[in-house]
Amino acid sequence: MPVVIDNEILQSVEKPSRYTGNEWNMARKDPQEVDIRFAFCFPDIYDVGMSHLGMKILYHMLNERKDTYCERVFAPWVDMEQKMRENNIPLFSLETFEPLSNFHIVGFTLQYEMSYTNILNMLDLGGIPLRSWERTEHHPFVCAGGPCTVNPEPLADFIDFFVIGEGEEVINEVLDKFLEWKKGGHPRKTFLEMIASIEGVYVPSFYDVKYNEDGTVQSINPKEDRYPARIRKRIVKELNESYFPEKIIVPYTSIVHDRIMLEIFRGCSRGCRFCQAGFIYRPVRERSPERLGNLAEDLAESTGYDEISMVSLSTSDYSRLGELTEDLIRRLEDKKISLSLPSLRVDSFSIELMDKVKTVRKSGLTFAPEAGTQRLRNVINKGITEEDLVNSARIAFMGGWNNLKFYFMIGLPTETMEDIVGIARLGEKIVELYRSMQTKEKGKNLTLTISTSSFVPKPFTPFQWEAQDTMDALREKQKFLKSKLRRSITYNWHDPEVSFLEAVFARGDRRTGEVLLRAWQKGCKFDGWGEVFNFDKWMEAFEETGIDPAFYANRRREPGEVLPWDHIDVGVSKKYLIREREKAYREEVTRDCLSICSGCGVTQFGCGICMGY
Amino acid sequence: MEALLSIRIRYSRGDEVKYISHLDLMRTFERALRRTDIAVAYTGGFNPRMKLVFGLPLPVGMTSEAEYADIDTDEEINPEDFLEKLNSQLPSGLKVLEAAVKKDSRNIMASIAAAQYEITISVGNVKTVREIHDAIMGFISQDKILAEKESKNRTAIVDIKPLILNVSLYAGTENTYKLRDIGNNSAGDNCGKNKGQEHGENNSGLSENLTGGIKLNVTVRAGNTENLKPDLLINALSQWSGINMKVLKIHRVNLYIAGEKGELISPMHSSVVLRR
Repeated sequence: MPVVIDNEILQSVEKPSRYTGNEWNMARKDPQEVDIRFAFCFPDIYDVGMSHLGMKILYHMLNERKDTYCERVFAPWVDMEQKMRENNIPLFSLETFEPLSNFHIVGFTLQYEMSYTNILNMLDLGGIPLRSWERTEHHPFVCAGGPCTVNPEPLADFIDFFVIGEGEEVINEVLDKFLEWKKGGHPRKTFLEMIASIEGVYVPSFYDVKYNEDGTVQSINPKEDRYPARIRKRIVKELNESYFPEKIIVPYTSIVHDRIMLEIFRGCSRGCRFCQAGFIYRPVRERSPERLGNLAEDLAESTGYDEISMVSLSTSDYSRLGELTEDLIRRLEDKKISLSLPSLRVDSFSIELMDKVKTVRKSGLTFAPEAGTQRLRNVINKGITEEDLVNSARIAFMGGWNNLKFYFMIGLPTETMEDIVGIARLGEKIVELYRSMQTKEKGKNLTLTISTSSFVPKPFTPFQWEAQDTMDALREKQKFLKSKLRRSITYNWHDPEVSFLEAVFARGDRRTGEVLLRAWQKGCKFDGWGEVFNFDKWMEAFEETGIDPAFYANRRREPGEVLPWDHIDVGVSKKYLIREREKAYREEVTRDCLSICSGCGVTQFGCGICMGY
Repeated sequence: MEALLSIRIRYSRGDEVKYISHLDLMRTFERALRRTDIAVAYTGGFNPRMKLVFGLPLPVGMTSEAEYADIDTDEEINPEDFLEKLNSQLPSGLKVLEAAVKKDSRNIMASIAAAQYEITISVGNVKTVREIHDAIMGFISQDKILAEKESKNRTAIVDIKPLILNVSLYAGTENTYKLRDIGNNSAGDNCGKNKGQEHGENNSGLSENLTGGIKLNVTVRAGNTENLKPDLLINALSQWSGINMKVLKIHRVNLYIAGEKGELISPMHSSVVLRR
């Protein structure tokens, strides 16, 4: 039965169009005519969720199946949630206003650890029991996918099954099995049994975790022999042949990323040692310029958007960037569609390109050195030299840019105050360079912004054993840096409290799920939103559950320790990560995959950059 | 570069899209137009925008059957074709009802002079039609009709009498009471449907009991120079009469522009657009 929302309620909340659907290209089906009703749940508000490319791909792909109706569900903002609870309105989908509990399968995407409390909140608003063992035949199956599934353990108590890796192929296999199960009229657990053998599917309730006296993990074992000891991620081997929607939903209201997004390739060959995405999405697989050009035209026609952007982890590394951008510009010119350029490496090529595109406002060019000294940059394998940076800045200034942003991380492994000073020195160098280059031109001042985030050690990176700096240490470094930066440089920093919690859940084991539940019960949600985030409540939750957050965030592990995610396999071997870790301490760089293969292990997939272009 | 043609459209906004903002609406039209093969004209310079002008923005939550927009095109196009093509790309809730080639040089945004609204309200404990009739009559018969108008930092008291052009009451069983008509709103031809019939003074139903809410059909000055929001009017009325009035629904029925002699005419009047 569809939910009906009173006009009075909609008039009283911020941006009511978040809750009213009816967008162009929204899937419209008769729920009676399908066998599977799938709810795609994004654990944040509409404006954020609708900017997510992954959801668009899966949404449109699933709706191509005649037997399935995939609908969207977003987290209501706090004002709407209050009205919903006051009026007993359950969480509903935007396509048919169907209450969440009426779906067959409810799927969440795990993009960010600080969205986990929203997942619990959405289940609760949807009338679905939070813990997987409390669900019965009357409840949907709850699954989750997305990058954070590489360490699924903090959510193990709440999710029936995880889909690890890229969803396009595996989700269809899961749905096919669902149909089989549904027709057979089997009990609930049978479905999970049926899909446990599908590569990429992880059913947490089929695994036992044992702990040592000191709190570390002793073992993670399947309860029965027929369950896989390790779950390997799924990837789409032939990316160029794989599904990409030719039409996508067009929202009414402005969202974070409001344009056509073309995914040009997956994975990254750089191997920056802090970067989880670069490792878990390997190997690099590209789409061809021709396919992308065709997609661009189809999407422009079906949406009416006036802007297209290229999406990938490192667009400058796309092997045929010149060809691609020229082709796109040519195709889109008459249609008055502009090409939005992502943060490209700043070199003469990209400056030329930005000039060609013209519509790029001469605002903000971004650089991401991440560390202030060559030594530390070598440790993290971000090979960029000071000379590169200065040269890039020079090219940018000559091209007329006078607004630059530099991104750094603090709290990196082996970091000392010297390295923090290095950040200030770099800033200084850039300011001096600008001054020395000032011609009689405009006499415009340089706007230089330096932004530091706090390092969070992530699973499946060479730094997965590292300790995160304590919050106090991070604050001290931020203060120190601020004192070293000249006043004309704007300094932005991130609150270490959020980074601390991120670190706990990124490397948390199953027991951290209890903290999650307690924190949510105390009212924690929208933890990524400054105005709602409540650190005190989180600390209370840790206290009350007797779990020490520092154990997860600030403790240095040794390579011999069993890690809570050891039963997940993303293709990169632990041996490789250990090798990289040792190289980091020796301040040695590792070159990118294209130059030379360093044997990370993903050649086992037999595709992409490993097989050459 | 001068555009070749300017097409004026009248379109409706229904329940499905009443919560999108004006900016959202403009974007929706732009994208819909981009999906057609209509050669919409663009401004020049570094950031070309579609030459598309909308009439008075409709506040969020209202529906309307008389919204207007002017769109410039670079190529000849038959207004009927324009209407069909655009309708094929508009989401449900938005529909072009009329299209004509504009011959007047003024754009729609600058020329709006008045608006007509159908306001459905609940009236608290009021039991008879007479009660509500007399309250409204009393209100609008004042020499000055004072209302609170909120601006950025303060609340000002303004006289809204000159802004109220026509008030009709629909209450009881389809009875209509024309309570005020300053005779300045001759609708001209094709002004859009005017709900209900003007009975003139019809007092037969005044003693009836009220069943459900009532409807007020009001024509007020609107546009860039003077603008009376229907909510403001109802608030003032509610306060003055002491009756607890709640707005249930507002539907915009017409928009008017000023004719040559200052009279109110439809934006699709034959003096303004080419009629076939």
